[in-house]
Amino acid sequence: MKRFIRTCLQFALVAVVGAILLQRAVDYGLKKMTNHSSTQTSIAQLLSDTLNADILIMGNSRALCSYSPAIMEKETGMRTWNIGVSGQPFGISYFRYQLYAQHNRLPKLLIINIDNNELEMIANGFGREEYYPYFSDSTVRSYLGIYGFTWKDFYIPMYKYFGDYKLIGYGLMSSVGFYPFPPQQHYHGFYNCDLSFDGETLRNVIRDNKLDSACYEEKAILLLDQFLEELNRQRVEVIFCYAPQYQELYQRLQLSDCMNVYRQLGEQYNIPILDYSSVFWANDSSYFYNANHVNLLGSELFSTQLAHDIDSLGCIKN
Amino acid sequence: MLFNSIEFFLFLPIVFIVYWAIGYAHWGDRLKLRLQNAFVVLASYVFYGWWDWRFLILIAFTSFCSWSSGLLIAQSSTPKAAKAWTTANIILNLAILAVFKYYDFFVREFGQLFGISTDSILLRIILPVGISFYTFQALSYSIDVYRKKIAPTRDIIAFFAYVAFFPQLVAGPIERATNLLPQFLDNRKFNYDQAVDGMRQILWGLFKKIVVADNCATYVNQVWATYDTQTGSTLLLAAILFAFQIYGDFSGYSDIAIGTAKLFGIKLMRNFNNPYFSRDIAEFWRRWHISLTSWFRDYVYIPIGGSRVGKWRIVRNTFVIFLLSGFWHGANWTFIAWGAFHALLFLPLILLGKNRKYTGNDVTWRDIPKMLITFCLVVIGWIIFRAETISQTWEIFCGICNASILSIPWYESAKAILPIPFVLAHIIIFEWLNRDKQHDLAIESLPPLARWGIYMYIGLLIIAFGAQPETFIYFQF
Repeated sequence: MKRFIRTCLQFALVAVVGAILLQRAVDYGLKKMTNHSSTQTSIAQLLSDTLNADILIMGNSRALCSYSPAIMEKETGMRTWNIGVSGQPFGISYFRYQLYAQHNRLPKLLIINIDNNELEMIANGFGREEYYPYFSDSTVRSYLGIYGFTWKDFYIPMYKYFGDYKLIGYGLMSSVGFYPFPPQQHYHGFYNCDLSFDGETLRNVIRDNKLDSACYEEKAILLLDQFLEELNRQRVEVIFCYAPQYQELYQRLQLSDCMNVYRQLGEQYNIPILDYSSVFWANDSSYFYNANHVNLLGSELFSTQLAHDIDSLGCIKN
Repeated sequence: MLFNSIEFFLFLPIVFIVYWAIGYAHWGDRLKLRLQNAFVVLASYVFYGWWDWRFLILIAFTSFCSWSSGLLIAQSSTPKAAKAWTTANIILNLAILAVFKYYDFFVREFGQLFGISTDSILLRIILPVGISFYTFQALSYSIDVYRKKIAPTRDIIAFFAYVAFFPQLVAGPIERATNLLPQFLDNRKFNYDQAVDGMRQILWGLFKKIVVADNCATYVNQVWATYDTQTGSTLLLAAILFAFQIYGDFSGYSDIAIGTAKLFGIKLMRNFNNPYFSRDIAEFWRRWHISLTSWFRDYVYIPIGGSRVGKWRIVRNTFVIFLLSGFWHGANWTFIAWGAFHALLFLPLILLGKNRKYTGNDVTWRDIPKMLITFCLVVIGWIIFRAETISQTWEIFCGICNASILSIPWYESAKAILPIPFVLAHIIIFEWLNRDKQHDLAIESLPPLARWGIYMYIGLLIIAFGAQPETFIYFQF
């Protein structure tokens, strides 16, 4: 019996040590990878203490591809960074902002992108794997608990990678210097999408009749309220901004409930709403790569105009 | 509690330590035995109650009735009385099974036949997990006592442990009283080699379930949910993968059960013997779900004459056993059709006296064509088995048998489909290399470093290629 218990303990020790070493190698490799399908600003960058933006942009994919930090820096002379994350509403944006704020200087101006998909906590297809290598960080753990991660993910070695052979492979490859993908080329988190218009998104939206789907949840509104209060205390200037949207789609959206929420919060915290949804060029598909997102040309136009408006409205007081 | 859950991962070592702590205590052998058995009953009831504690009453009732019937049969003054007690116990057990498993089916079918609405008299009871398994196990005891193959036991705790022994309680192997009960009546001694072999078998069972079965299930479930829009090649691929899913699922469960029992010094019967290496259908049924097949053979087929009767009675007996076997799986015409399909495949062999042509483990490369033909026939059977209705079976066969069978099968993503051929290659290679062993990871003859390397490799495969856990298919039976 003693021999059996000794053998089991030896096996468990080898298995646990092996799993810990493997997890470290995979974590290390994945941290080195900067390619993420949903964002241009990796968690490693958010935690790196090097962003220190004066103007920070947060929001979903529309934020990611609409606000060009290069142009805004050129126009305002202030360091700008875009931490937008594709496919994800406010819950994840908020979490990413918290990571930024704990490791970087607070921004002077925070631009919060607003639209019909932003007032939710979490969306399907949440890119959970991006956070796996950072589970040793207590801030990451404390925020991710609400997104369905449990103690098993945080503390059992390799549990979080269970069944994800691709991610394990990528992590191991990049840990020894073989990167499975070329590094992303971006400036300060901006998704530079130099593509011509693809009408498929619009056709799908019309076909699937997704236009009047509920676009907000109470939990997200409460979190946004709490967040704005916190920013107010910290004297961070905030603006709500609606980036341009292709008019054929925009006019089909039922936005009144969502916009009322933003208006009420804006009044409560004295936050201006800059609405570019219907700029004069929003009828022209050559400025969009699909109905929801501007392309490079559109982002240049929009960012220039936004930078001028920020200046003229005196949004940055300090 | 599922074998592939964290709860079981914590439950098993606790039960193991307490069980052997009792076994090694400085008490009398008889007291230790009774305490160990009582602890097995307690642990087994916790294991079962984790799913639904209410049905513990049913297991306890079934156990008590069968135990009492054993004593009453033995005390009967005449063979007629003994037969009456045996029959009473069989009827009682089958009645419980009928109420929980078949009542709604019969009532609904009866209503449909005569055009009567039966909604108000349907029971709609949840099927207690493992009811078919432990009922058959309990039945085997009273029949064997009646046949004087085993002496009745007065030890009610040992008998309760025999019926409820947690490793095989919910999905077998369906043990015989002649094999399992004596083990609960005798002091167990810890055997290092047996326990280590049990651990190996558990590891392999987990691989089969978590990696093979659950990966196949992901694809199969998606295709089956939309079968009416799928191409022939996709449906065929799903049927083939279902063959591996059900095998990995059920034989994986059996491996974990047998391996777990070994940790407690208990030897359970083998339930699978590389069934997809069978060279004909008769051999398949000697290798697939051995405990159920042999149960029906010993308690139904042989008593009604077996194959030592005239040709028409052989035909009848073959159909009886296969239809019953199908119906045992569930109250659905598809299971009966599946049984009938296998009976039709089996009949020519038995009528030509070729049903025992392949009885050994002497499979070679030259047998591969025969194995492939048998596998194809079995896959056809699995389509019937997996379908929800007979009409769905027909639609799937029609869906397969058309020009779209030449198209490329559907797959959601390369990530989802790629592991499947990789893990199937592993199971086929391991099974082939160990086809003459008791299980596929019986690698005790290898040097320690090689053995440990294999353990770690399988562990890595489970981590890297494990799929989202699915419940065990055979729990529903």
